[in-house]
Amino acid sequence: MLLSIIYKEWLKVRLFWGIALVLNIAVFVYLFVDIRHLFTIEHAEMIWYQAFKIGTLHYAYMKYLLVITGVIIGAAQYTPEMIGHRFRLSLHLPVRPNSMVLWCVLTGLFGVAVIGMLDAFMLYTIIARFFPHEGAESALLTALPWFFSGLIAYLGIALTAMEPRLSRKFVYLAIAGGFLCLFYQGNDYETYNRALWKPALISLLFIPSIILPAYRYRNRSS
Amino acid sequence: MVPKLARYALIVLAIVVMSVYLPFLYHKVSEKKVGKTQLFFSPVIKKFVFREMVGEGHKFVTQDESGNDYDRMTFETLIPFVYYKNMDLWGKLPMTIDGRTFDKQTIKENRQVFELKPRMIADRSPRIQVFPLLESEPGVTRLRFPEDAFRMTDRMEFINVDTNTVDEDLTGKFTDAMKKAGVVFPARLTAGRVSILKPFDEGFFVVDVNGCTYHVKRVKGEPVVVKTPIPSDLGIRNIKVMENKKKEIYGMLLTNKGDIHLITCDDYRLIKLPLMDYNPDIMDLKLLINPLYRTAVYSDDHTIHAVAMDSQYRPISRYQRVMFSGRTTMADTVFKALFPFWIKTTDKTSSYLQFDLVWNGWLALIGIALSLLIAVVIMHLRKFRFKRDWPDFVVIMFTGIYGLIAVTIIDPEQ
Repeated sequence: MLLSIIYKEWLKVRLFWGIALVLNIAVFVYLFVDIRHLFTIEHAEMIWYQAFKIGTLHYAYMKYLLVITGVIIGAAQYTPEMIGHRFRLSLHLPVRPNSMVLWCVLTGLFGVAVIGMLDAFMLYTIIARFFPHEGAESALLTALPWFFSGLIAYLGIALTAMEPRLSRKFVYLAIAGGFLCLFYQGNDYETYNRALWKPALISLLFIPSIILPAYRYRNRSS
Repeated sequence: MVPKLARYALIVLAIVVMSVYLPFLYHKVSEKKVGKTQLFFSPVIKKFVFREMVGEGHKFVTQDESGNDYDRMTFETLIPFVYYKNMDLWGKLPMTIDGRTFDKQTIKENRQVFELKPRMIADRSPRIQVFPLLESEPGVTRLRFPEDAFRMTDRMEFINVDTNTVDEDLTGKFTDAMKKAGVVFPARLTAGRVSILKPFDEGFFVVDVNGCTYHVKRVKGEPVVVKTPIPSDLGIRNIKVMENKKKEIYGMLLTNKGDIHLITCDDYRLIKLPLMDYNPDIMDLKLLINPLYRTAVYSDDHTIHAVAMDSQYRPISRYQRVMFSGRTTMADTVFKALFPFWIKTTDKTSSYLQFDLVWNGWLALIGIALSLLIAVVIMHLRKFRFKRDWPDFVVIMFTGIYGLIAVTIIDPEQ
């Protein structure tokens, strides 16, 4: 049954997952072209100086890429369910409602994470093409909180979409939005190296918390 | 039971978010601009003089350590080596102090300022460990970045910036020179001033795995490696290289114990600064050198300290005061009463983000008590059932206003 749920979720999001994937690949292709162009118009030693000493993040425009990905996949997965209360049908499947909700969420989360991992691979490969491996590793560490924010964006959309009451949707949106901004506090490279584990660990609470709006949806206590 | 736990998971998330942003907003609203105290040693009256902002707008006090007030112009005249351009403008140069006469050029040539802020310490800010080794004798007027950069591994490895590949020839040449000088790889610390906006280049100081310090330069393309006599058991934490035309001091060395030494250009002889109560992790340090005295001024957010020294760095006078900006204001007290704790994400003493929980002490009990009272009223209106919802009170008891807001906006299921 669980495999069927995962398959059902995949059918729902596959088109938008594909669109998000293409978007992500397109941005990284542009990143490659952009950095390559930079190295043709500027002396390499100056670009290295800017990157390592001044702290210029040549890949900074991919900051919100995974947030957008999380929102696309989250919206694709939950908007159809909420239109016409189709989600109620899912809750009648012969599986415990909480498990069903968690599997739906984990499926979507996995979809975002796969794109995130692909982004990480592309980022490392592109940066390592132009900078020494220290620069590529630094780019990964710098971008890691942005990848986390993509997962939070997805979970925030799931949380908000399932909640039946409008006022509560705003509350959940504020919590998710506020938490997401915790991953954008630094402007330099590797500023999260010593502390990322703290918000990342706490963010795990988003997964069980999705049970609450699902429960409220089921019992329509709005 | 599961929805109940889910609600508390959400409440914890809400509390975390609020404990970052509510204090941040509070500070935005309540914070007033009060600059740090400017403290100097006056070579004229042989006393410390300071200028301090004591209120909004431009309310300043300008005094000496004995409490005598001065107007702005007199204050500047008391520290003529700092305001020597004004002295020149006001026709006070050349001036005679302690029987010595100083003109504009003499003052200019004998002034120097060294600074060490906590963020400048190697372990308090991230730094990609790839550095350019500039040509120290470029034969042209301006310094230039080389077409390679080095990293310290089990050798001194040079990478060509155009091809992003290791330059084996250069690597071999420098690694051999380093090994010949006695370097045992890997390096524990690599310190230099990466800039071309400096009068000349002094290369890098490298502390090897045994704690020995080496001075590495590129002179006409060739490696020049000097093993310095700096003791290997000194416990070097940071070296700040500061090239200056005076060529007296290479830079500042910080030890793990928090001692500051100047590395002199006189065969790397160390001069230990006689600092008391200096904490490099939270204090900004400035060393002001003028033709007569050296003054080390260091401060955290609360207290400013200073020690004046003669030209041999022997202390001649000390002073410390609680700065106006360090005094507890009503806004600070209200903050501590309102918020039982807060999550500190940034710290001006480090480039690393923190996410540390900061407790506000016993004053927070006032805010917690008030929050509990308000919670009782709200829960009474909402027909609260103690047997079911008592954990809400526990949440408020530990988290005060954050908990109150969280349990109110995420109310329990009826």
